[in-house]
Amino acid sequence: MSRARVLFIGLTLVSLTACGSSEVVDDHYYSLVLAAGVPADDVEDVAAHLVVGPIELPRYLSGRGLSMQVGPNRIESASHHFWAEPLDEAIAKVLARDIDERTDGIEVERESGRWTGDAECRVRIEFDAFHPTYQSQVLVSGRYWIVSGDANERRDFSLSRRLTTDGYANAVDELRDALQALADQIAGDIRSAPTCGDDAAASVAADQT
Amino acid sequence: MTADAETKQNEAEEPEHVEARVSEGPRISMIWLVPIVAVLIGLWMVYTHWAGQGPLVEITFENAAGIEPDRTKIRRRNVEIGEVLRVRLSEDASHVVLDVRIQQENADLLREDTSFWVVRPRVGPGGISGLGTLLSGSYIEMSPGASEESAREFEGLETPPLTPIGTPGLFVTLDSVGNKALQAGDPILFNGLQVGTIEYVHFNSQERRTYYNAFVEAPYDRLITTTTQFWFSAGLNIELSADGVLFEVPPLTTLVGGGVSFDVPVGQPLGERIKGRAFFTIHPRESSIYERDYEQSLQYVILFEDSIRGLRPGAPVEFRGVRVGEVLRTDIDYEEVGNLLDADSMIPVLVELVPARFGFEDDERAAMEAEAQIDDLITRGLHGGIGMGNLLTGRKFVELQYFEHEPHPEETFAGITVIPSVGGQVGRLMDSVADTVERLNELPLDEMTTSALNALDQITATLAEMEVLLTDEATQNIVQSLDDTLLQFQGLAEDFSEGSQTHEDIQRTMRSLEQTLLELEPVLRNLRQRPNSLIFGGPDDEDPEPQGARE
Repeated sequence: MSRARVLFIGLTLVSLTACGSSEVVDDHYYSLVLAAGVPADDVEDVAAHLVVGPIELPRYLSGRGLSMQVGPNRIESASHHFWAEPLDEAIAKVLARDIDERTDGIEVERESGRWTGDAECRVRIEFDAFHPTYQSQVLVSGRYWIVSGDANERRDFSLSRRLTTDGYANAVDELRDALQALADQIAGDIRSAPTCGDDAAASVAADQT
Repeated sequence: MTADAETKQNEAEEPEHVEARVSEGPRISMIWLVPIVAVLIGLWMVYTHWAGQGPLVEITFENAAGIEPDRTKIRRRNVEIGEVLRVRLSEDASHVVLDVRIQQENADLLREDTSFWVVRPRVGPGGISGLGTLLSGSYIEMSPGASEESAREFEGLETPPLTPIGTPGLFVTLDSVGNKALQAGDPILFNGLQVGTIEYVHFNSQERRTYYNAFVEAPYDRLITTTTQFWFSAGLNIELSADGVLFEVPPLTTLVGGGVSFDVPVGQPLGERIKGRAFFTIHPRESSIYERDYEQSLQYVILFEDSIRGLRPGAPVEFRGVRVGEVLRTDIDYEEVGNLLDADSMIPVLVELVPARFGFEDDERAAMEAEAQIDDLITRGLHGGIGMGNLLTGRKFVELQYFEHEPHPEETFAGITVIPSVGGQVGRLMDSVADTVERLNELPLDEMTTSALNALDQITATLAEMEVLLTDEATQNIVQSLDDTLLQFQGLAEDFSEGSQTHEDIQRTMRSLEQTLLELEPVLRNLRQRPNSLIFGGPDDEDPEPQGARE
């Protein structure tokens, strides 16, 4: 191969590389679990077990990229803003921790956690929305079922938080805040459940006395 | 001047002679009116007595037991309506004649069919009656007749009529044969309820048949129809037959005495009501009313070598399980039999076959046709055998069978066509046993025994080889290896079971793979729209970011 041919091919590749170069946008990762902070030490007598899960998400929330509602009926998935872990696992972890902190005598685990026995209660959650919107707010809505013994009770929830600053980081914080409100609602319903509510905890306490 | 004055004047003038003048007075004294009137009154009284004493009638009885003139009364429903005036013997002294005066107001009751009988204490099938006459004495009861003709001479009844004349109902005539009989006064029952009475019993010695006049009271008389059947219902009826034990218990009213029941057999139409006198035959028992009376029958003889113990007259004759006749005679009172001690003696059984039970019509022409067919069947192999009818009673029956391979020439016995016999069930069983033994004898038992012994030797050798094989160390190692492999497989299965760490890892891996595929989707979509973006890269647009609310 002559030197002239080698030089021609090299210049061509350099030219093509120059055409393909563009400005690089950084990727960002967000974690709901980190946003929830460090869990407090919780030593308590266990009267019942509660399993949180499965968490069912709509298809557009199953990807790693954060989704945003950009119109009345239009959703876009971000190309540079990602969840640091699968969203359903993150929501299960955060909700399990929040509910555990709000209930006495009940050990709360997410599904597929370390506890594998038969739970007295289970909370199954189905989300319709878990995203920021073009109207400067985040939406968290759906329904959950509390399965306690033979009872299977359904509750709907629809929470929204107003965004005060721009960016996904603030939106994730607001989503985390909405999850806390959802945990409050679920914990309230758990306390009146027949097999893992306050009556069950009271009977355990009486036995220990 | 008057005459008296003149007379007095004359007497005064001529006082010495006065001539009496005789004048004619009444010739009959008025005093005679008294006896005349008395006579007239007497005559009137005699007439009224004669006219009011009622008719004088004559009643004849066999004897005058308990009857006294001027004391024995004639009564109707315990009301005195007359009196016995005189009791005398008839001219031939064969009976007594009572002169009876019936009161005038009851004279209309004296009809041709009016009946009289003496009421005295009686004991009969209907119970004890007339006890009241023990103290008051006998009297004569009258039952008024319904005839339009009046009468003055009557024949008294020796026994009270069971049904008073004029009672609404229906008279029927029943007849029966056999050893069962009824008496006057026996009840007629319908479903256990007495609805009538046997009135009169007459035995016809020529026909050897007993006739009964029976009366069924209204409204039960409408139950008597053209399809009604009567049967004896008296006493317990226990019958041992080839069909088993028949045990019939009648209603309590007829358990001690007698009685006859009637009904329409189940399955038959009710028929038309009978209004005039009708004739019925009394069946021996209720089950008999379902047996039709056939006019045509054929007689055959079956000659048996074996014992006929248990076979009785009346036993059924069956063909292919259908009753086609019955046994008439099982005795040996035939000239052709000889004596039973002869080795070749046969026991004749006379049977009666009913063509109608074979499906023929019940007329002479069909009977002849049936006879021809049966005779033809006999020549082609029809045989008769004795079958066991009932193990409990031991009664047997005759079974007609067709053996195609055993034709038989036509034969008669005492002028009656013979149906050839075959051994009974026991005989056939013995034949089968003998046949089986014969077949067993024909079997090559020696060869079979040798072969069986050889087979046993081979099996023993094979078992010994298997024992060596199983106790071999290599075989045991294989078994141990198999056991270990199964344990490992079991552990592997547990590792992959739900809830295990491996299962959790697989689940996580699958989810990661799903996530990766989801992220590849926009890349692939971009490549499909702009294939050169793989080299030149695509537009790296900014993501839409959430905007904070503007105050």
